[in-house]
Order: sequence, then C-alpha cells, then structure tokens
Amino acid sequence: MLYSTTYDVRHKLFTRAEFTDFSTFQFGYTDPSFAANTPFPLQKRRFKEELISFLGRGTYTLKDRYVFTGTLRVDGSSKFTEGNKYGYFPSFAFAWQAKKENFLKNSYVVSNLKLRAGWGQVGNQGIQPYQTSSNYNNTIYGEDIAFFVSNIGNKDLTWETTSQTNLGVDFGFFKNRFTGSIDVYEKETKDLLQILQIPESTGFSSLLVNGGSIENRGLEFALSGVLIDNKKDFNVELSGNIAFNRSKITNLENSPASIIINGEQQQRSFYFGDNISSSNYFNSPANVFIEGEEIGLFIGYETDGIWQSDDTDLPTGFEPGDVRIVDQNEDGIINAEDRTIIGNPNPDFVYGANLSVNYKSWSLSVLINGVYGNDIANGTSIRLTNPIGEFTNITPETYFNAWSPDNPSNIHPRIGYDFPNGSEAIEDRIIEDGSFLRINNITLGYDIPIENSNLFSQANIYVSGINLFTFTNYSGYNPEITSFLWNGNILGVDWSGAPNVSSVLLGLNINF
Amino acid sequence: MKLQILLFLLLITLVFTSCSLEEEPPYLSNANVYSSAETASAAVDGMYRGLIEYGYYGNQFMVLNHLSSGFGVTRRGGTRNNTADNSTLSSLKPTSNSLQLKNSWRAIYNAIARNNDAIASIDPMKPVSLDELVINDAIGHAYFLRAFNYFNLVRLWGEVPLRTAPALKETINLAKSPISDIYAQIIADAKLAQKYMNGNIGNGTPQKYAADMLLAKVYMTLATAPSSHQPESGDYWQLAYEEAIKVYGIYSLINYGDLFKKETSNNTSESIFELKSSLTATLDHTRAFTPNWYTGANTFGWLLANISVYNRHRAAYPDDPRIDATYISTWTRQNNGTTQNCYPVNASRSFFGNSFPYILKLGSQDPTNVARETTKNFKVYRYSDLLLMLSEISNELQNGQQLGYVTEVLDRVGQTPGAEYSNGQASFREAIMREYEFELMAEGHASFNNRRRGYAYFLNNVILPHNNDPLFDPNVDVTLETTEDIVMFLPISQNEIDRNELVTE
Repeated sequence: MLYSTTYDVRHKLFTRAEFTDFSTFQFGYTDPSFAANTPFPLQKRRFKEELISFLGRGTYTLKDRYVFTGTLRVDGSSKFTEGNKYGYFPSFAFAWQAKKENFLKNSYVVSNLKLRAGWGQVGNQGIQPYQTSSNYNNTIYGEDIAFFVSNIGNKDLTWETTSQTNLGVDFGFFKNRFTGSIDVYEKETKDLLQILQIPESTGFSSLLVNGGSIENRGLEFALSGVLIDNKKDFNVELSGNIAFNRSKITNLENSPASIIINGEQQQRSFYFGDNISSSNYFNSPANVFIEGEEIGLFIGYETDGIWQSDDTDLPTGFEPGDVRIVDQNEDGIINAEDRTIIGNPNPDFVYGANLSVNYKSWSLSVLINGVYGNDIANGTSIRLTNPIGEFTNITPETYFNAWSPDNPSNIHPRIGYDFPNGSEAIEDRIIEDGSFLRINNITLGYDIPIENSNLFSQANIYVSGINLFTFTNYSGYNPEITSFLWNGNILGVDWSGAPNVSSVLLGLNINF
Repeated sequence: MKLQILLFLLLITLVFTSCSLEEEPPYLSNANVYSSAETASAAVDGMYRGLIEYGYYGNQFMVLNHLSSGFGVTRRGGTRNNTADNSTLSSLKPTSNSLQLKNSWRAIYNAIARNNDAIASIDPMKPVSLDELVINDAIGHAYFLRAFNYFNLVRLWGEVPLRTAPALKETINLAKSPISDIYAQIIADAKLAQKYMNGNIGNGTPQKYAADMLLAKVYMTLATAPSSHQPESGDYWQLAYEEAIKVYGIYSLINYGDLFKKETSNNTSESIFELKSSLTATLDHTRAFTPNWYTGANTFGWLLANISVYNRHRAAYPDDPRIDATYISTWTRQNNGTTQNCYPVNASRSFFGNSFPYILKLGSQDPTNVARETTKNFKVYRYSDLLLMLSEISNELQNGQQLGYVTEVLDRVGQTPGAEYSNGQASFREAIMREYEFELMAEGHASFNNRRRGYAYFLNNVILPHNNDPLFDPNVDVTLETTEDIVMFLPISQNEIDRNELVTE
C-alpha cells in the first residue's frame, strides 16, 4: 500500500505499509538406524514456523537532497511463547546528497559526495521451532520404539535484537575516476540467541538461551581508481578495501568466577566454548568468552620452553624433556586451573585488492585478499609436533630435533612426551599467527583478432590461476579456516582442515 | 484514500487475530507421554535405552569400571602401558579430562534426566485398571533407575550434584551434595521402586526384585562406609540381609558358559536386571570388547586383565571353567589364519600386546561372527551375585547361612569352598570378597566391590598385590597409585567444572 504526496517541488513524502504472513513447513522424517533394518514405517514430521510482519516506512525528501527515512517493523514469531512473540524494530536514516548543493554542483574535482547516517534495529529469530517446550523424541530399545526427553524447553526465549549506528560517506573525484567510501559503525546485539554449553549434571549438554550482549565497532574503507586511462590501448584500474572490526562482550549472565589473565587470578564473568573433539586429543574447549573482552579468546596452557636436566622445580608427573607448562597458580600441579589466555582468533583487519590491466588485446587481472593479526589454534599439530608414541605420524623436524639429554632442545619435547594426550587444555605451542596474504586469482587473457571473420564476433583465450600463492607463516594447510564455521562457540580452530586447492585453468571464450 | 487505510487496518486486525502464532509441536511432551499405558511403556524403554548408550553400559562405563578397579589395562589408544588410558585410569590416577570418565558422567546424568522427567510428570495412583497398573509400574521403574544411577555416581565420584527434578533454565547450576544426602535419596527412591514396580510392563524389564537387590547393595555399601556417609546409623548388614533374602530362590543359576553366548544368554532364569541389545539399538560390546580378529569383524579387544588377577583365580580354582569363559590367551586370527598367543599361553611378556589375557566374556564368542552389532543382552544383576552377597552378609551377621550360598555358586562350576571358608569370620570375609572377582570379572562391579570395604582393603588386597607381584614388569605393567585421596574417588568431569558455576573441583 503506497501513499505519496508532493506538496511542491521541494517537499516529497512517500509512505508505504506492507504486511506479510509467512509460514514455512519443513518435513523431517524419523530415520531408520541401519539401512538394513526398518523397524517401523518412516514417519513424516511437519515442522511449522510462522512469521507475521508489519512494515511501515516513510520517506521525506527535502529539496531533492536531504532524505529522511523512518521505518517500523513489527514481527511476530511462532517460535516464542505468548508475551515474547512480537518484536518492534524501528530505524531511521538520513542522507545528504552534498553534490547537489550549489557549492559543489559545478565542481570539477568532486563528482560525487554523499553523506549517510543511520540508526536502526533488526531482530533475529533464526532458531529451530519448538524450543520453548521440552520435547520427547523417538529412539529404539530392543526392538521397540522408545521415547525420551530430548531437550530442556526454555519458555523465556525471545527475539535477539541488534541496534546499529552507522555513518558513511561516498565520494567520487574527477568524473568518478576515483571513487570510494568510508563507513564507521557501532552495533550492539542484545539477548543473543545462543546454544549455551550447560552443566552435564542437568542431563543435557546445551540449552538455547538469550544470553549476553556483544558490541562490534568497525571502520571500513573502499577505494578504487583508474590509474591509467589511455582509451583503447592501455588501462590500469586498481581497487582495494580494508575493514577493521573490534568485538567486545558487553554483558554475560554467568556469575563471576576465577580465571587467570596476564598472570593474575581475576573474578570475571565468562563461559567456555565447545570441546573440539570427543577423543583423547583436543577434547577440551579452545575458546573462552569473557565479559569485557573480545569474543572467543584462546584458552590453554602457557608454555616456556622445555624442562631441562638440571631444572629442579618440575611439577608432578613431569620429567626433563617435557614441555615446560607455566604453573600459573604455583601449586606444583599442572591442571585445568592453570589455563590462561593464550591467543586471539580475531583479526586486526581484513583486506582485499583488485588490479586490472588492459593493453591492446591483452588483459590481466589480479585478485588478492588477506587477513592480519589473528591467531589460529592448529589442532592438527597437536599430534604432528608431539612425539607421543610409536604409532602416530609426526613431522621429521619433531623427531630429529626431539629433546634428549645429549640434545637439550628448548623447542621440541622428548620422544614419548604424552601430556597432550587426554589433556584438559591445549598448549600455546599450537597457537600460530594466522595472518596471510593470498593471491586468489590471476587471469591473463588475449583477444584473438577476428576482425576478418564472419563466423565469430569475439574470441578470447585466457589462462587463470586460482590460489597460486599464499604468503603466511602459518604451518597448517590453509590459514583460511574452514573447521567449525557453523559453530559460534568455536572460533579460529583448524581441526583436520583440508588444503585449499590450487588450480590453473586454460580457457577459450568464443561468441558467434 | 481513507477507505484504503480503513481496509488496510481491517485486514491487519483480521490477520493478527486469526494468526495465533501458536506452535503445535510434532513431538510428544511429558503431558501426553505418561497419559497412556502404551506411551508410558515406551518411555520406560527410553529410560533403559539411556543405560545402553555408548557412555554408559554400552561401552565407556564398562571400560571405566574395569580400569578403575585396578584389575586391568586396555589396548585402547595403543598397545603400550603409557597410553592416556593406561597412565591415568588403569594406574588409578584419573584426570578430570579422562575420556571414559567424562562420557560416563554425561551418560549417567542423561539417564537420570529421563527418570526425573517421568517422576515429575506423573503421580502414582491407586490402580484400578490395567492401564493404571502399567503407569504405576512406569513410575516404579523411574524410581528404580534413578536410585540405580545415583548409586553408580556416588560410588564413583562421591559428592555429586543431586538433581531430583527436571532442570530448568534457572536451575542449571547445582552444587554437589554430601554423600549421606545422596544415599538418603537413593534409599528413598529404591523403596518407592519396591512399592510401585508391579511387573505389568513386562517385556524384559526387571521385576521389583531388582529393586530389592539394589537396596541390599546400597545397605552393604553403607555397612562398611564411614559413618559420615550413612544417612543415619543403623544395622546395615541386617537391613541388607532383609532385602537380599527377598530375592533368594526366585531366580536360579544356569550353566556359567551359557551366560555369555549370544544364543543362550538372553532372558535366562539367572537374570535379575538385564539390558537389551538388538541390531538397531546395540550395546557396543562386540566391537569394543571382542579380542581383535578373534572374529571376522573388525573388533578392538579393549579390555585386558592384569596377570596378578588372572593368576589369583588360577591358583584358587585351577580347573575352574569360569577361567576359560572369562579370559582368552590363544586364538586363530580370522584375518590371516595365524595364531595369536598371549599370557599365559605365551608367558614371555615381550611386549604389551602379548602380556595380558584378554577379557572374552563381554564380546562375541563366535569366531564366524562378522558383525559389530550384537543381540547379546547384558546382565547388570545376576543371581550368582545375589548369592555371593547373601554369603558375605551372613558371614557378617554370623547367622550360620554363609557357607550355603557360596557353595551354590561354586557348585555350578564344579568347585568347592576351600579351607579359608572354615577358618573364622575374617578368613571367610577375605575369601568371599575374592569370589566376586572370580565370578563377575569385567561385568561392571569390580570398581565398587574393590573400594566398598575402604581404602585399606583396596590397598592391601588389590593395589599392593599387583604392584608387588613377582611377575610385575615395568615395561608392560602399570604401577597402581597408592594415595588414598587419589584412588578412592574419580575427579569430577572437567566439562562439569567448566560449566557449572557451583562446582569448582
């Protein structure tokens, strides 16, 4: 429904109201446990979720250059209980087309200038339905169908709300030969919908809650320019972007507890991320979420070289050649109480650039991207760099440089060092700098001259290299982590990550 | 224009009122599960299913119980005595991150949550109809299993969180309770189980005698426990007798070897409390506990016995058929036809892999088997255990019945009680404690029986005999820890410490 009024040339008002009622069904099925045995007919399960939205928007434009927009969204979700179903999400925006002002209208230098400011809220209800009730699920016992309670219902679930304030400027100079934008934002997400790891004495491992708040602040630049523009023969274009983001956990509901940060016991509100594996190695959380800190800092044992033969104050169970784990609480025992912050998976900035060169019939494009300042917990190196036993593969470096009384290494532990097997935490020896610069794509093309052909309208031959070069100090296969991307409780952990494929492509494009 | 707006508002009003946004879950909830006999029976199956999970009797609790008894080691994680499992659990030095410890903790509490949900959802009634009898039986099973599960927890860990109602968001953190409170709850629950279990669900679920036996075990444990662990002072041996004797004569012994063969083991007259295994819901015993390549399936043979334990049985009853039913030391490898010999057939003990007899009884007994799933059920409580309990209790009470019960157990395997049984109460006591070991090796009792009579008993009858065995070889054997604070209870799971604000160690 639209309503539009123009009072005179200088004032314009648009209003718009929308209404949607959206429901989706997802059909699940109760699966047979083994392909060979179908103990009961497959059952279809209907998962229904419904969303009602009301949207109202008003836009007021003054003098064709000041634009005010106000929006109100009201969303109702079937996934929450009565009283929590509806969320109200207003937003306001202002834009100033400065280029249209008299003092810039005729400027040769400035070809575009637009300032933007906005504040708004959005809601998130992206959870599975039926989480507010305790549900009974099916299993099998003997040959019979059995029922068991499969979750803790949380009646208090409600919308997760993100409030964002942003300021931005878009600009172009010299007939938009150079363009760019700068954006700053601050956003706070409250009532985070998260799968909280809960005490297993509840009978369950996790609970869906609205817990805590996170603040993100960021600065983003994007610039692009035509460096050489020699019409037909020679063109060079370069563009780049860089983004800085800082996260901070502003509020958690957990009661303060003891945690060691920078060598001192502190009382902080925090929770641990998920355990990485369920076997003997890395069967512990890698991340910790502490109020007042960035999200998902790495937690584990700080190390300080290798215990040597003449050292005297070895903790219980350690011998020369073992890794010298810092006994943070100085009780002579290395255990979970000695965990501390050992790294930060959040990058300082991420960036990318694109170069495009055309020279006569030749064209070249180069795409790079990179990340700077993040740490990676290299889970694979737990087994590769600890000479644990005779049955697991280790790197040659680990084996040939292993500590022995005759070869008192301060880096590589002795053959047989077994502490990480079943350990309560990771050692900071597996935390590595994850910064990298990757030349993601290089394409060189050539337009085959076909002016005299009646058959072809265009023919282009090209060779393209994807992921040819990566500059990084990271020792794992791929610094662009792909493990646990679906899990917000695990950040920056490389666990059996696959290498990133490099490929070279030779191609021919022909148009008739 | 105005009409348009009016119409629009009308539309919205209509839709907002017609769209209730109410959820109609495709799942059952506790309100409807316990309303009919059929669904309540299925919920009881769900409770027993909780006990066959991988973390519980399906696999990891069996490993935890065997290794933490001081009776054995494992091949899991490598054939050497310094793997994570052997240097921690098997050496009686578990850490809060020991895998089987964490998995068992999670699985036992998961089973308890099912019991709590049932208990919170239904009130027992004065039954009139058969349906009401079935629902009462379901309540009885919930109480029985809650008592049973907490009894496992308190014996392994000591003080643990005692949760007796379904967890809510507000109550996820819970502090540990004193041991005496946990036992008080166990006793109360077991008595309610006795009251409500009526056998109407049937279908392989235990009868109320299982609750009698459980309560007898609880009282026996308390009889020799520190007084701080006892909910109240009392003659616990007498109480134990009164419960155990209710079960006497109800069941009977079958051929010992038949207890562990798939074809003959299920639902026998000896079984008091049995867990079902089927191809679709299988115990993991065949995969994990069948010696490697004893059958054609890829199995792991995780459980090995310390040789001091094996030799003790051999010395007490040299021609006991239980030895061959329990252990195996030589077999033809089904993958390549070679013969695998280990201790004592090959007594060289040249490396870890050939230094111990394998536990055979839990896994597959059939070399032609190729499946890793099994239809062999597992007996949590057997009648011979009850007879040994009666013998031990009677010896403490000196009621004159003690020799009769143990004679029944030995009789079935062609053995007779030795001279130590006629040499006074203390000598009898020492001998009867060994009978549990010979009869029930690796069946999930040793960890409890070895600690039940206190630290001194554990040290002098299990730990030191192993460490000081003349055949002890540090290259293959583990040295058992001797410190009381370390060996008597397991440390709380690290997951619990990390996540429960009220549990710090």
